[in-house]
Amino acid sequence: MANHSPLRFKNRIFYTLVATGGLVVLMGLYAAHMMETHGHIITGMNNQIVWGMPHVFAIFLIVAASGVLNVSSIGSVFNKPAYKVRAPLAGLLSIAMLAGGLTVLMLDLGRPDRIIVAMTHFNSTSVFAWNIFLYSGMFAAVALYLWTMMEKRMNPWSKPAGLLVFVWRFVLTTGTGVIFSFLVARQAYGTAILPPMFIVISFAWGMAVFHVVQSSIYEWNKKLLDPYVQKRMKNLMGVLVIAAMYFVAAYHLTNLYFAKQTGFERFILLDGGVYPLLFWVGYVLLGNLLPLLLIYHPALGKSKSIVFASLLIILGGFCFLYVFIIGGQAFPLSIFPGYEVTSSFGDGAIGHYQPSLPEIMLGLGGVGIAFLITTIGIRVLDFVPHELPKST
Amino acid sequence: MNLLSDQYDGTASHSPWLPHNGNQGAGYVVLRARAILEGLSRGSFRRSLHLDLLVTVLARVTMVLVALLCLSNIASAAESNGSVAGSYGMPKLDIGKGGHCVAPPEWMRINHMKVLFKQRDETVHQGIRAGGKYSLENCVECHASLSDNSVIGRPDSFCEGCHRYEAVKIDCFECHSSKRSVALVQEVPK
Amino acid sequence: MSDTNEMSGTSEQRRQFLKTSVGAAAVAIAPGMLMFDMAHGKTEAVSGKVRWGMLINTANCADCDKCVKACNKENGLSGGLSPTDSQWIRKVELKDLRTGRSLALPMMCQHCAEPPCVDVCPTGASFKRADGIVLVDKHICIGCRYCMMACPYKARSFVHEPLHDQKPDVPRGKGVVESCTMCVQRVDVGKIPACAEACPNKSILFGNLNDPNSEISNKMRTEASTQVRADLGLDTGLRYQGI
Repeated sequence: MANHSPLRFKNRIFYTLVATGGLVVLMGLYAAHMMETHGHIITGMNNQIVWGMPHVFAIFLIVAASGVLNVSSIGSVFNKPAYKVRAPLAGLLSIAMLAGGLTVLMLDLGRPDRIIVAMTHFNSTSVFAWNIFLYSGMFAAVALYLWTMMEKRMNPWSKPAGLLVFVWRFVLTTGTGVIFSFLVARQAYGTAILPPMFIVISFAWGMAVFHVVQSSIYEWNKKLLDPYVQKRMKNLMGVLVIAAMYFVAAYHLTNLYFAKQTGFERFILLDGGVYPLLFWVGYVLLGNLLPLLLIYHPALGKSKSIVFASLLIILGGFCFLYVFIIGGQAFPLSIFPGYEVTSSFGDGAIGHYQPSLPEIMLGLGGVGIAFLITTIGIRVLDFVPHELPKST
Repeated sequence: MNLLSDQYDGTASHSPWLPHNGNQGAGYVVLRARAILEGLSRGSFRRSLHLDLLVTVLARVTMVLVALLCLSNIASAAESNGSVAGSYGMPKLDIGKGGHCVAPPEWMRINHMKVLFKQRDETVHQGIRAGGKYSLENCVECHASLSDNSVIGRPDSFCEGCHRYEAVKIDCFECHSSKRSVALVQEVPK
Repeated sequence: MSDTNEMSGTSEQRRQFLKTSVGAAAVAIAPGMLMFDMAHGKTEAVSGKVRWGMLINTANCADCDKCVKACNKENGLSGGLSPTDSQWIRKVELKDLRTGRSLALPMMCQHCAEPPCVDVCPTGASFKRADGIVLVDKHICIGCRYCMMACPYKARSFVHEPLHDQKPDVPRGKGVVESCTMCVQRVDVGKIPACAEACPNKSILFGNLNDPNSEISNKMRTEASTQVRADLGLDTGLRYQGI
């Protein structure tokens, strides 16, 4: 009989991963059940901060889901063979993260039992209604794309399918950005730079997630990534991080120029307590500068650095979203410009938010769903990249 | 070669679709149980699952449960009081004030949801209140039990009785008051 | 001959009885129908001929919160002031940063003609009625809170916990968003909103903005008034004097 040891080891890893992922998902579902039974009073969200941790997780997952397809697009649309072999894995990750993010969003609704209502009543001016079509269409488009890549006779169609996915995810990420752009009255939002900012940020986060997943798979399966390909991919990630930083800088610098916005910027960047901390230390330092150092420093830039840099970028992404979503709500609405305002409803006062356990569990449940889909997908189908033979 | 996909090591596996040549019954189960234990000890977890045995056991358990459910349903139906219609033990309802409904009861049984859906859209979106004849408030006003002033809460409450029987969840009273307004007046002390 | 519903004999008799008695009743009470409508609500839909609005005079706004208490009582709100409690109307104290002048005013849904909350609602639950009142259709609200993000006036509240003992005229429940309804249940039967009725100084004037002869239209034509956040171009149904 053949030696069972490597097989048994792999089997054990697989079932352990599935069990862990399953447990996290169950915890998330339990949290959703608690929220549905007792109401949002058990969370930290209130009438000032209406979107909380679940939305931070969900938007990260959805934005990264769109961005991870960058890897496929570079392969299929821009014809780089080294990326083309990675396209199926990127497609799987996209579907997995989209599923996870959407699940969190839907379970956080005040009435999740009315999803059917959301599917049958559409307000044509609402971004959320457009997004229902965009997200479900995304699933279909990526599934189609995967089919064209993984079934030999459909391979000639993978280029048009790749183009469809490329265009669709631009529209989808724009749809995510305009959720905030269309909020005219909030000082944190209501600006047209948000869709392009989200698109470029999605590239950076998607690349980081892809690196983490690919490195883990290769590590546990004793596969080797061609150092040349590794270098190209990490440099690309570096470029994307710089581009994302540029957009965030443009957003803040423009805001600082408007006299009516300086109060808000002061709050986010200087004296808002947890928000400046997360922004400068969490996002700028740990999420951007340190990864760039790890990527570009000549003595670093090997596998371990890349994985560490990717994890930091992901952490930075969460910090950014926390400041953007929650910090943006914590700053009071400017209802009476030029007046100092007080009321019983928090007018003129900074909103307080304390993330609660059910919210965090729900968010992690979404990550668990993405994790489960990826793990099981890799196991049953041929998603792991087939590395190209090295050219001499 | 996808290293993560499961690979057999070449020995013949027990296919559930191959005939078992008379190995049925309790002896068969014992043999398979031993095979499972042996499989586990050899460390091949997937093969030790013995999916065919699992499926058979699960199917048998399900059949037993379904049979039990059917028996219990028939038993409870025989116990509960029948209405005028008589068959299958329809629930007995406390119809509150009773008298003539805004429409015949049989028609209402079939159509009350349509009436409510149409009425709610007319009232909310167009402000048509029409004397409140078909409003939920009016239904509650008449049909709330005379003992506890509510249409839900007890097995024979006007709405709850049939809805429990039909296992259709009522969503209305999460928002709408289930008590007639007289009751509210009585509860508020001042 | 037998109708498709297959009704039994007693039901057929009941049906006949209802038909004749309704016919007789209609003949008897037809003259009183107009008054019946006023007392118990219209039978035809609201139309754009009417646009309900309010004019709030902040100079007369006293140091009380009777409007808030009246709204809470009319609509069955708890009156609690924690961050998760619903507040459909609130008293806001203002102080001019430059001059130091203080004033107070009640703040509630402004019932805009171009409501941002209606634009963003995915299901169309947040809607503007033909007579200008902006409402939440709580039957189709899914509780996404996007309208709360969009509202410039922080008018909307989310119900964070299960509710009991709702007013029969004002259904409200967990998991949906709600806001000032301009007391539709009162307006539809010819009354004025509870806050307008309760104000001791008559600072809140309610009326038909589309009627050039109504008290509110006359006042707006002769005295200065502004919309809150007029720069947003929302054409609010509520206007304030003295800010």
